[in-house]
Amino acid sequence: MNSLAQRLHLGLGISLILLMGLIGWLIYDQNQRLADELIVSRLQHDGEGLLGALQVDAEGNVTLLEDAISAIYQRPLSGHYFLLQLENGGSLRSRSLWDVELSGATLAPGEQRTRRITGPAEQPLLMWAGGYRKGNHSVTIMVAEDLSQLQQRLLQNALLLLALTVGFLFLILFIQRRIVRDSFAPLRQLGREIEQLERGDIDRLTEAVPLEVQPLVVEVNRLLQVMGRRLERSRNALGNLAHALKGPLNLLTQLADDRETPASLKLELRQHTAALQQQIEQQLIRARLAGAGSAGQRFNPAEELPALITVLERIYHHKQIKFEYHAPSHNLSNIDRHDLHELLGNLLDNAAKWAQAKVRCAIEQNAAISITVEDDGEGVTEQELAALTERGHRLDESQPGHGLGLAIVKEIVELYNGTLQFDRSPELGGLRVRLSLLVQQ
Amino acid sequence: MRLLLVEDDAVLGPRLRQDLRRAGYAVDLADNGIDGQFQGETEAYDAAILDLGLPGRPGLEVLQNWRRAGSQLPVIILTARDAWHERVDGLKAGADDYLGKPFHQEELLARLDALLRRAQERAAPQLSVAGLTLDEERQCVQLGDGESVELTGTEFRLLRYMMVNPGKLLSKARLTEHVYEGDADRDSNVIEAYIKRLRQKIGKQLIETRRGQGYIFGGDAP
Repeated sequence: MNSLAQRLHLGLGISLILLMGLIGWLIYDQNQRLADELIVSRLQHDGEGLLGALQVDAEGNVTLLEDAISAIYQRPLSGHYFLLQLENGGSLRSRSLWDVELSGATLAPGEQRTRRITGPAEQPLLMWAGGYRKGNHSVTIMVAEDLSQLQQRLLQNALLLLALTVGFLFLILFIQRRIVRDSFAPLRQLGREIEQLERGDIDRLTEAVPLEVQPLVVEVNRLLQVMGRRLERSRNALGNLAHALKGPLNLLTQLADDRETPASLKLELRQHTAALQQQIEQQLIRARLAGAGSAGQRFNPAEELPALITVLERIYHHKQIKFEYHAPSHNLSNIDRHDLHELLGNLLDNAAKWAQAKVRCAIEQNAAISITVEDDGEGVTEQELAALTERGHRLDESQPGHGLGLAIVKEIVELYNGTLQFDRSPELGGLRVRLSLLVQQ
Repeated sequence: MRLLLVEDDAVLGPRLRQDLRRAGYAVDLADNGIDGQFQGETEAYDAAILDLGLPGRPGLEVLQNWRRAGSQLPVIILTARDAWHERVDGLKAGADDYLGKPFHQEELLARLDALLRRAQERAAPQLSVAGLTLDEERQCVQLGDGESVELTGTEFRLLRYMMVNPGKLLSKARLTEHVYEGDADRDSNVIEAYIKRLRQKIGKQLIETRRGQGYIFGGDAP
């Protein structure tokens, strides 16, 4: 079981049930014993009273003085019974016994015994028996009392106790639930903060948390900071590298364009600079990618897409392309802003390059992030679809571009554990690229 | 059209300036962010080409300062930092276009032309006003009867500026600002001389003189 709260509830529940069961059983047992002791002592007194009322005449006949016997023994099945067993086989018994026999062994004088028997009308009886000597006669006196009422009371008490115990158990568990919930409230807050962190709404967690989890939170913050700084540093360094490399490359390009440069040299210059540029772009873009779970900024489609589309409209200023998009207005979780810009930039750039008048883009975030980009260009054939994502593959050499776009897209999709599909747009007729990022496995 | 070029590369800057001049623009070159920002604030430019990695002050900051001060100057950012997010950030900072290095000269000129047309709210690629059609590539003008007339650099810049501002009263000072580079000898009499030569080439009636105020091209000023 992984829930701390459930573990606490279960542990406390079991402990309480065991404890209360034990206490309940002890109380019930002690009550029973106490009641038995009281009854036995009364039976003993009654027995001794009977012994006093016992008369033995000269011929050895035994009688009881009726007056000395309590009326309760006279009423049939009253629940109070006695039996006097004489050594000669004779016996005297209470009228309450009616015609039912109390069985019992004769006891030697001085011997005493207590036991439970079943009496008349199935009454549960507690019987005390004692052996005595009266004159020359040995006599065994047995006195019994019906326990059923007492047992019923004891059972009622026990049930009451059980009910109280169960009620109390639930009360304690309820109180504990409240305590646990209150104690775990900072953890739930932490959970919410982690969601915000994934969306990039905050860049660190609140460290005002219970002592037990504070080290964890502090460490997470430290890692976030380290990762964020490392990413920023490496991106800055790459930016500087790009600047340093592209300056001279730019001059070479200008030289190739220069009207004073001989035509033969121009061609060669163009080829070499193009190859060089492609390599530089490719490696720089790759090195800049952050990947899933990075600590950088997040992408808000409502804010970023219009700007990105403006960039593309400037690039394709000679065409009148209408960009349509459909995207959520909140930050996309768990995906780096730069990476998504690189992904969408390349996808939209490619679409705009081939489109005649329309490019459509849809972004959705559910468990995964799904992106669809389609255009109304000529589309591609089956073989071209297969070859499409190969590195540096260009479908049309006459179109400007480095042929890198879709390869970079593929790389980003892999980095974010995604899927990538190409087919023909059913509505616009051109290429449709569908991809999902952060697919759960 | 007068441009501000802010580029710190000692080779690329002058070369680019040369290319732009050849394309018929008056070009001032600044090689650091502080001078660049100052020139952009004080001089009347029609567009600026701004590098981002500048000594003194980063290009993005220069741009933000211009925009904060309310400047509407059309700006093309020219930089080696051309990741998509950098382009988007450049645009968000107030740039009108963003061109990654290395670039081809024609691409820059095409973007510059598109940018100026957007700024002038002009859709047609060819500048055609009052029966005149300006051929910006060959720097000559086609008259209403189909005759093509060659123009010198200054004549071309002057005519182009007047053609993108038809019907407006243009003072000599304004014409000087937009036609000459910052370090040129600015004598308003020179403008008069050029106007005279233009009239000889395209016909007298197209440029009207408002004594003491300036000139109006191709129509009436309100």
